[in-house]
Amino acid sequence: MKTFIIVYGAAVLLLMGIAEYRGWSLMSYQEQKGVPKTLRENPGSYRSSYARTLHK
Amino acid sequence: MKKEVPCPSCGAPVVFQSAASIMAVCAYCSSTLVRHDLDLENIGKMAQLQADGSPLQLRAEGRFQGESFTVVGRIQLRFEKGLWNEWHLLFDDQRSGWLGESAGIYAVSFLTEVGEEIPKFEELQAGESVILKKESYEVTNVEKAFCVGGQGELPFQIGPGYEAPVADLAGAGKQFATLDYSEEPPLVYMGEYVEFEELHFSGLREIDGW
Amino acid sequence: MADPSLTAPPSTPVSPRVKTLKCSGCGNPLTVRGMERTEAVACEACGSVIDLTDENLRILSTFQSKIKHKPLIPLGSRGKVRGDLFEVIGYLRRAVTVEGEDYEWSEYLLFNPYKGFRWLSEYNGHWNFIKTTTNIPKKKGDGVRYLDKTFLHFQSAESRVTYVLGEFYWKVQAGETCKFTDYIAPPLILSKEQTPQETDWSIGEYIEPETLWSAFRVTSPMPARIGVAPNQLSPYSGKVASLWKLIGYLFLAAVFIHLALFFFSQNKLVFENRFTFQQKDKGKAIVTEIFDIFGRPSNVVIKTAAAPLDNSWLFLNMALISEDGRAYDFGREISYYHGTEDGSAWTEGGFSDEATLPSIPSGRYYLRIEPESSAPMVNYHIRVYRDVPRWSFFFLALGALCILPILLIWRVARFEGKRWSESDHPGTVWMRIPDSTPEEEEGKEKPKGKVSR
Repeated sequence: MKTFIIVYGAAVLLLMGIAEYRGWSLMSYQEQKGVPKTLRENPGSYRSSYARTLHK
Repeated sequence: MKKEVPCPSCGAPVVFQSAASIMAVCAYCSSTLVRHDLDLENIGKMAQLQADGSPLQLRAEGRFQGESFTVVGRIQLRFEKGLWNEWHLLFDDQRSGWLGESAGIYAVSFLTEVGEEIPKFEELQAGESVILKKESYEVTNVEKAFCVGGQGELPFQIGPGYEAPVADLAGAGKQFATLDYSEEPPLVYMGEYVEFEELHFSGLREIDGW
Repeated sequence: MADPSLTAPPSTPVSPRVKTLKCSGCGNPLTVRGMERTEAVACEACGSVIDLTDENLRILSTFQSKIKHKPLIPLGSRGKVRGDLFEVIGYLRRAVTVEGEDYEWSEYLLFNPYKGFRWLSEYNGHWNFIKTTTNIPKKKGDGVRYLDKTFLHFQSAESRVTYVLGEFYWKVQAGETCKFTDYIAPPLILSKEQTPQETDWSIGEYIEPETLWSAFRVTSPMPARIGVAPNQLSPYSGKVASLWKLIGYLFLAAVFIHLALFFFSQNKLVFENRFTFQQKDKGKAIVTEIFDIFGRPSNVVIKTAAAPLDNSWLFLNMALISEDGRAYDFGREISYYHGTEDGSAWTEGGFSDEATLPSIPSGRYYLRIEPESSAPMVNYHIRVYRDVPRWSFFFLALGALCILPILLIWRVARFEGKRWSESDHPGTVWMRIPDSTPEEEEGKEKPKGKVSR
């Protein structure tokens, strides 16, 4: 039981440390690459991954 | 204080090491001899003891609470569940004591005067408490025993078949007491339970295979 | 002092090691090893118990048993237990009936002429080394106190002897009964046998079967242990306190790590601006000015506050875009609703929002925002922070750590539950965690044992 507690506890603490240090988040988002610099002149040309969610 | 007297039946030397001993069993002819000052009266043959496998024997020596003793006599008694021995011990200071031996349990006790009134044998039950010398003891055994026989020297007269209603009691810690109802008023012996090793015996009987 | 001139012949005969007799019931040869300390011997062939004290070797009783039980440790075996040599001279089986169910166990009578008698008891593969004790325990509640330890009441029942083999120091009768009470303080067990004439106490110590198998050089297979014996030491005995401490340290470590990272976080405001949305702006996207994000890859938190919202919503389709072309898309809705129902007012939603983007590398970024709303006009205020301390992972870690005490309690309770399941107190685990003593060193404490009838 003792080894399990130590290993499991260390794993939890390690994960928490990494998550907080690297600034992890539980929020959902989409990453895109290759957005051209020209977007600043024409913001409408951006194809967003997020369609508007239906409101309540 | 050792006295040696010839046996009136066979002439063999009968030893009395204790001044308190009033009878002895001749080791050679098993005559029961009662001591009257310098004379010995033969009152008959002592019954043969039952072989009970005890490692103790007469002339064995031991120590109890720092004092040395010699085993000088023995009474063998039978009760419902089996046999037990009361070994008569003679201490270096001439005190007489008893070593009760039953199914591997040992207890040393001495005849003691108590101020309290002793309950009647018929009233006793295992588990009840009795006050002796202002301390509480619990009754552990109540037996109607009878004597099988004796050996060596004894401080009172016994004969085969003599009834000995007895009760054993246990006090706090190792304290032990026994009530002997073969006399009126009953005799009280008090002492303690001991482990066999604590008595540091020498001169024990040789047991084949052990 | 022994006087050499006294050469009296010994008055008790020297007993041979082993005697052989003929069974009065069937003529079968019987071996007697007890050196006259035993009173009865049982015949395996016909079940008769012979009275050794009777010159005619009369039969005391007869055991009827369809099954011929074979002792796991054969009669005549010798072995050293707790430093002393003993010989197995008798074997018997006892049974109790509890709530209509029969439980049977074995007892082995051990003998040493200088040490007396001891017992080994075996039930479901669990073994105890037992000896009579002359120390009378004191009552304490429904348990007892013995040698500074509290023993808990386990069971009171009446047992009967169902089978005998070999020799015994009393005249054992077929079916003879005995009222007993057991008290436990693992690894010890105290047994009391009470009759109007006698009180016998014995103390038993849990002993590993391996110890006996090697001591007596037993060749028959060792039976597997089933369930938990009344006085079996818990695998957690003596360790529970240190395990709780360990768990406590883990919780403390979580707090310290979180607080340390909390205090070392930048929590820097890198961008701030106010915007207004009007229905005429629908479908249009805006880009903010470029701002710098520094440091190790960490989170970026976008905090938005919107007003006025009155049963309306504001949806922001946002993207954090870097100069080198990476974009992080996300959508956030802020809404506020209120009303009255059955006389009481209710509200739903709020006026602010926080969005956390994970592990954003340093660089130059801007926001692209595409707003939409059900309100004709909404003002919103956006603030972007870098490396903000968050609590969610800390709480998740605490939650994950909470499994440990639950697991520990569950395992201890399961073991103890099994222990008490066959007692007079099943299902009362919480009131009866025994005074567990950690394992004593071999030979350090001689058990004060049991001699049972």
